[in-house]
Amino acid sequence: MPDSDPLFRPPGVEWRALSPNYLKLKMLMIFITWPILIAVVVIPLALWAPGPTWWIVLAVLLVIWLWRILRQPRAARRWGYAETDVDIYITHGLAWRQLTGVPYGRMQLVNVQSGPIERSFDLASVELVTSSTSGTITIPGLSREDAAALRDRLMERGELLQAGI
Amino acid sequence: MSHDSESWPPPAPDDWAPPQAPEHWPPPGAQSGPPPVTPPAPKLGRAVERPHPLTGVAKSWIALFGLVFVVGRELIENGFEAVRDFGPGIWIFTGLALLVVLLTGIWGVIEWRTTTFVADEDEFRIERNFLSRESSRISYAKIQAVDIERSLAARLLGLASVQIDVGGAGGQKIEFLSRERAESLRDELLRRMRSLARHTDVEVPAVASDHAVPGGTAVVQGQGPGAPPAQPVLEQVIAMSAGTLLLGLFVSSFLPWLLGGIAFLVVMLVVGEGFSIAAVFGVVFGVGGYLWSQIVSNWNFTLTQVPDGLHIRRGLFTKVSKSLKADRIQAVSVHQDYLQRLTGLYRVRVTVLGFSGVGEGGERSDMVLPYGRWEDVRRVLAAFWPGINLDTIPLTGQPDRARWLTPLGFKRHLWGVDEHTLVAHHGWLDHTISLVPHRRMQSIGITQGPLQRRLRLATAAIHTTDGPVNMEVYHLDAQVAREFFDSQVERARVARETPGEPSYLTGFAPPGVGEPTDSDPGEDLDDRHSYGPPAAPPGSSR
Repeated sequence: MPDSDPLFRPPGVEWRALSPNYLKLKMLMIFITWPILIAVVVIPLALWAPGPTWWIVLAVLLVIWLWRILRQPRAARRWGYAETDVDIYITHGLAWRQLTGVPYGRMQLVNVQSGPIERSFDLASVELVTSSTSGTITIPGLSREDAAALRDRLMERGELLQAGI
Repeated sequence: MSHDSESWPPPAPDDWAPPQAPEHWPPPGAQSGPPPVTPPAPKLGRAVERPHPLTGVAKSWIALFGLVFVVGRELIENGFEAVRDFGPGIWIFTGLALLVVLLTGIWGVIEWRTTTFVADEDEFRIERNFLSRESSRISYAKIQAVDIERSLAARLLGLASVQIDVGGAGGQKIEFLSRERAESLRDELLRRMRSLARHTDVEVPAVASDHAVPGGTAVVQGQGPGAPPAQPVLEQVIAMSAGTLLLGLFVSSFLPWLLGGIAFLVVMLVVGEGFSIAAVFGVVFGVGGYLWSQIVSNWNFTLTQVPDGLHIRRGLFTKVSKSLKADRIQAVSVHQDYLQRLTGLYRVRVTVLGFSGVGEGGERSDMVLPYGRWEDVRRVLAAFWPGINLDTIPLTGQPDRARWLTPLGFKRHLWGVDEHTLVAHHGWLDHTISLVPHRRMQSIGITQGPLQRRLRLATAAIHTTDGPVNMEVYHLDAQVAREFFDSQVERARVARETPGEPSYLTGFAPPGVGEPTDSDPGEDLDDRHSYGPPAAPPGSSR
């Protein structure tokens, strides 16, 4: 749940969080990709530039990695979405925070996407496409059932509140 | 490779009409436009359909083409001996290329098997279930245009792809269908789209402005057959003089470039050392080319008010004539660069639904006033949004602590909101005014970075369709930003739900009289969306 920042307070309806599996997936990705990244950077350094350089780089990267791991749970909790009668609101971001409000009537289409890894975690993301690129946002990491239900609700309300462009 | 296509017995899906490919081989010339008579469309119903079985072939055509080209050229140039002389290399190459062809082909086949689409009563749905599962739904009311595209390979195979344009982001493309199916699908989509867009399709009479007397203020024009009883009054809003054009062009941020270019040429000629033809040509073409194109394309710029929007005519050699419907204009930006502040000239650009801003001839088509004084700006604005007056909107600045983030332009960042519009001023040396009516707001956002967070500031942004206008109000007090966000959501909702295009955005009685007039295709360059409904169906709240 997003914390109690008055700027990003919920719009009358409580924020709904993502599926807990989203954090698991993110953590898994961090644990898989970062060691590879660190190895790719540090091993050539250690081979071709002997001396203290490589372990300083290694230390810095390890610290960043640790920091990412520690921050990820909070970042995942910052995600929230809320549906009111006319709009859907989405908030996310830890350092750079965002709040977006999209009227149902402005939605051009709603995409549900689920890659092979996401699928194994029973996750799907919902992409809300409006006529504006900056207003097009993706809610990641919903359970697949929730994603489909959300998509259907959005489409239904979108048709009801059709606003053209 | 012909054996490839033989090894593809098109496994017809259950509900698929027999593929038409063989009949189109050889292809029927280079005709890309729709034929005058469309074959009877298969009933749409709720049937789930798949793209054409030859999709895989059409998609792997590049690899196939490369293979045929390289091997064929080798054979033709050097004969079969060359192949023997070349040894195993050529076979390895051929093998690899075949593999690529085969893999892309298989990829295409799997994509084809896993892609389905349905056109049912309320929406068009595409499902892709290959690597990632994707399901897109487009409601017919959102469709702006439907185009058929035929690449070379698709033409050879008698296929076509259908592109569904929804105005902004989020268009979809179906690759590939048989040509007949593509056409019937397009017609079907357009039919459904039209029946949903209840707005009467009133075309801007592009012919009319041809007869507008230059300098005349009110020219009454008939509209040919089916003319509505009320004769529209065409009023010339702007006729830009050559003097204004030259003044605006030379006294602008372009001047340093011009002077720099001239200085460079002079130095080159005087010093003589290292005189390089290429450099001189580069400068002459770079600076001169810009100058020339600006003069040529904006020469004799006139803006005329027509019943539902604007009509622009400009150009020295190539006359460009183009209609802009008022209900397609989403946002306005008035800009003045640092040298233009000396001459007091402004440029006005608009975000228009449905075109990317670069029009025919690579020239910007979103310019509604190349150079003009403040009165001209006001007149242009009044021509399409008569109810919006920039001068009466009360403006507010940023809180004092925002000086930390905008030390230089602090006093020039102003914003204001009234019942119809949001306006924002930005710039330190230059000056930009952005204007978005609440009715045109797509969505709204607040962002806050770490520094802003420390200073209790936040940025609010109004998203419109993509275009040259950027509407952002930065470094508001966090609390003010959120209050603005909430109230703006409400204002936009109210503005959206007002039935019909409000008079402050049109100034005319709601159109809907008269038949769509035939516009001369050579004149009306804005017919890229000839299939589309005229933007917002006004009785939008349903």
